Amino acid sequence: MKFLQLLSTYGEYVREFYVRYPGIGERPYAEQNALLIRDGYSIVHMFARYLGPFGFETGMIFTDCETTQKKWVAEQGVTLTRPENWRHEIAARQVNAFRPDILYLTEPVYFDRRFLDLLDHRPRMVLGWKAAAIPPATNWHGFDLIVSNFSPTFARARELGAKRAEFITPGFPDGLREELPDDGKTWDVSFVGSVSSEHQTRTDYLNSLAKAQLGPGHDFSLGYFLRTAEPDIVPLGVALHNQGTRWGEDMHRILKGSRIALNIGIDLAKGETGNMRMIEATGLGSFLLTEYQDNIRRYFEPGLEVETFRSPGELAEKIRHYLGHEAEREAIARRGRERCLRDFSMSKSAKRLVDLIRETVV
Amino acid sequence: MSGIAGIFNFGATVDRDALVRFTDALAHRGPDGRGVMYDGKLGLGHRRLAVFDRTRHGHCPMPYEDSQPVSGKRSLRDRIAAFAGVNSEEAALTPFRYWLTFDGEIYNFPELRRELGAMGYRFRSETDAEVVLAAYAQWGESCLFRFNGSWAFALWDRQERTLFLARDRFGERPLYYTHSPTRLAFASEMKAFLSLDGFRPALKEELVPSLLVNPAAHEGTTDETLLIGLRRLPSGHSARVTGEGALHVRRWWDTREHLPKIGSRYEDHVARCRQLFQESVRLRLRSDVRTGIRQDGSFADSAIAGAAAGLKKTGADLSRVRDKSPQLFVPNPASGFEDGKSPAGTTPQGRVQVITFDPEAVSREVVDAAWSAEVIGPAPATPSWCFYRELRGAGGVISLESHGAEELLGGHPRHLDCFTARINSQLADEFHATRLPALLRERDGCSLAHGVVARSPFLDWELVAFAQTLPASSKFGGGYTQRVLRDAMKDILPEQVLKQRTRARFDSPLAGRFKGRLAPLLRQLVNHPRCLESRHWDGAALRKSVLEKSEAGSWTAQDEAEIAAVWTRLSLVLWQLLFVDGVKPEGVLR
Repeated sequence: MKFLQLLSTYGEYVREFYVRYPGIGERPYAEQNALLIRDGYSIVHMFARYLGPFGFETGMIFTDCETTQKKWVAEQGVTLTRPENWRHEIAARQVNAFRPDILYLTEPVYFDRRFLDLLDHRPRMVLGWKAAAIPPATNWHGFDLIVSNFSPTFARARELGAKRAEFITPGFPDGLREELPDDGKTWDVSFVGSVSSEHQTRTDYLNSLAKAQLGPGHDFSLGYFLRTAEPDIVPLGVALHNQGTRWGEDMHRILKGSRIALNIGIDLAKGETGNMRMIEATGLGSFLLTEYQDNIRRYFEPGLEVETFRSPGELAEKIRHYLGHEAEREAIARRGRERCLRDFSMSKSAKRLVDLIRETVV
Repeated sequence: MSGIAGIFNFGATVDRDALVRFTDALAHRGPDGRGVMYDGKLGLGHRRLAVFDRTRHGHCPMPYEDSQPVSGKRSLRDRIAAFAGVNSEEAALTPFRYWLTFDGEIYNFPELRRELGAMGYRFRSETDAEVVLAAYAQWGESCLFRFNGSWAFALWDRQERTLFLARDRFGERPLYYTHSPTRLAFASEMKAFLSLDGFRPALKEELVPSLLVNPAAHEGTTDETLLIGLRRLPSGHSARVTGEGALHVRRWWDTREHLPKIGSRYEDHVARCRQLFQESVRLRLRSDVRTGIRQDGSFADSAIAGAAAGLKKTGADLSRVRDKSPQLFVPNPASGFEDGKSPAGTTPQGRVQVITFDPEAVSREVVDAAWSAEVIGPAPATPSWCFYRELRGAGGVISLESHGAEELLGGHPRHLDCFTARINSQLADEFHATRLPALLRERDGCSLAHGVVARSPFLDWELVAFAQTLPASSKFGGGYTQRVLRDAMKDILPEQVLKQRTRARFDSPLAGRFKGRLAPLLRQLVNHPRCLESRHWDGAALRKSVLEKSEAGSWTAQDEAEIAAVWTRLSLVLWQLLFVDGVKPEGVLR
């Protein structure tokens, strides 16, 4: 059975990728694509990379990487009929060429029904991943399944036309931690992610921590690795510590190299947690200090496998405490990693996805 | 550094006894002598704290000759030879055109003295005050631009029959005045006016609402004071008063008009910052009395110590510097410092003198501090007040401090709430209006109450103008505030100090004191009719709240905002007792 994953990325990542690998844009498409896969952007969502053992022939396409995608067009000797809509057109041509049985879309808002209508080849099953805000104009008619770990998605998916919606978590790739170089602990506290108008709570927490750092007894190294599309709304305390965005392996090295990895969700997720950062930080063996949400126990046991906070004061206090109690901190980190590898490994999540596929495609 | 006072009548002659009383109300500012001069309708008073030339030649009010000297002209030294031995109260008969009563310091006076000397001016003293006189004689009012220092002074021109008042750029030295159709009277502190004949103190109620909202902004945002009819000469302003009673106040300094051109290269910013800061420290080490560096534990304090140490190593010109390796005065016994030495890596200097006092001052000291500082605020001024008392007791006279560093280069947690694009305007606002002026007023009152002179290298005008030109990214970056200064001190200060983020916290939490040693004062203030009958708050409710919490001992650190609001109100009550009702500090606590 053929499984094709269409993966979407941030524009900043794409730009940085071609800078980081000078000349890569001139290389054959297959070489570029292989490097993108190896680079590990959004690796906890790269199911296509891990379905081989389940008997799938897999492929993965980075739909936003214009240079790479247009290299494919050139190699195929085709002419785009709608260059202004190259993302859709190239991806559709690639789907038609690959002829997957299963088409998995990790950005099913841009690649929604309007994209499916462009396809000559009709996969036996179309599924998408969504765990964030869904614009009202989204059309999921033609989608057999939407998977998510964010509960409001399920009802909304069916309203928008998807036949089913099921819970699944991203998966931590087995062996990822071991593949990373051992840099030691270079940061006391780190946060990797975005700040925007949709992350006001996150911004406030990060700024409160920058302020707490100036207080007596709170001198610790603090690294924020932020994607900031709206720099005007970033307060100085956050900007002061922003070391710039990190992607893929660089991001994982930051998480692994932090005594405390912070997690604060998007505003939309009030009451729910379960983002990729939790999986990645614990899987990489770091102590996760995460904003308390009602469903935290669905993932980790607070105080045992991770630690939580409910206020800026508690955040600062727990940082002070756990930086001063290394053995306690490392014991929690160890148990958090064990839990992650036991319940949120890629092999387990991939198995869950395969089961869902087989329920649809007999 | 001194206390100055004066009365300029527009009709009657000045009453000598009244001038002496007025002047002596500032006796605490000048333990080294008193001087008064009369010239009919004009009288000047001075209480001297001698920093430069402690001999009688530095006596104020000080005269100067009436025209630019020419070659071959009789030297000033000759002309005033008789004057040096004359009681200044008889000096009104001497033939000098200019008379000066001076509070402050002109740090670059040796350079100005040389420049004026080359023009033929002669000097009988080694003081900065005499240089001010000669500079005024040479350049008129524009002499102010040549001064690098802190000052408030009054200069009487006998020929023009005008009085010229001037205050330094950033308001380090205070100057208040009252002006009516019959007279203008001025003095260094508000409390002096309680001894001025005919002055009836009354609270200016209209100012209270805004004061309660933001007490720190009061000092720098209005020339009105809490006493009806009493104004402050704003920082960077001067005034000219004629014999007919006309008063012309004008702004002589606006930092925005003096911003330098700087390039965009951060490395250039660092180099220039280092140059300006070291020069500022060099100038501020000049004195003929014992000088030290106050080390509260902040990076800015360490930067001052580092720059001072660096100057000695590089062989900089340290003439007029008595203490070339100034001691560190450490006001916090819990800081880890010990007398005579400092922990390795925390400071570039080894000589430390711990200034020990109880930061949880008793009610009596709170009243004394309020009397000295004259400001309303969210917390008592006692920690500073006690520090200066003990510093003077230990023999210190000059204290180099880091006032202004946070308002210039950032560093307070509140700055981190600001968006990057707005931080420079916020810092400038804090520096010139909403924060620093009140801090400087408190510093002046508390230090001069004990005969201590506080100086800040961060208030050097060239450094200020430079810093206010810098982009935010030169002040905040790489995880640090005061970034450019840290990089400027890179090969001078130890790594541990350069990476120090925590701010000095030189106070003691009020919550504990509210339920402990300050409780008697709180009870007295909330029960006073000034509090109970205030038109600005519900006195009965305030009383109930304060008494309940104090008696239950339930004030906690979580009540920080409420405690600040309570103390702001009660400090206004206390202020009214002292400055309106005329109760002496020792009479407040019964």
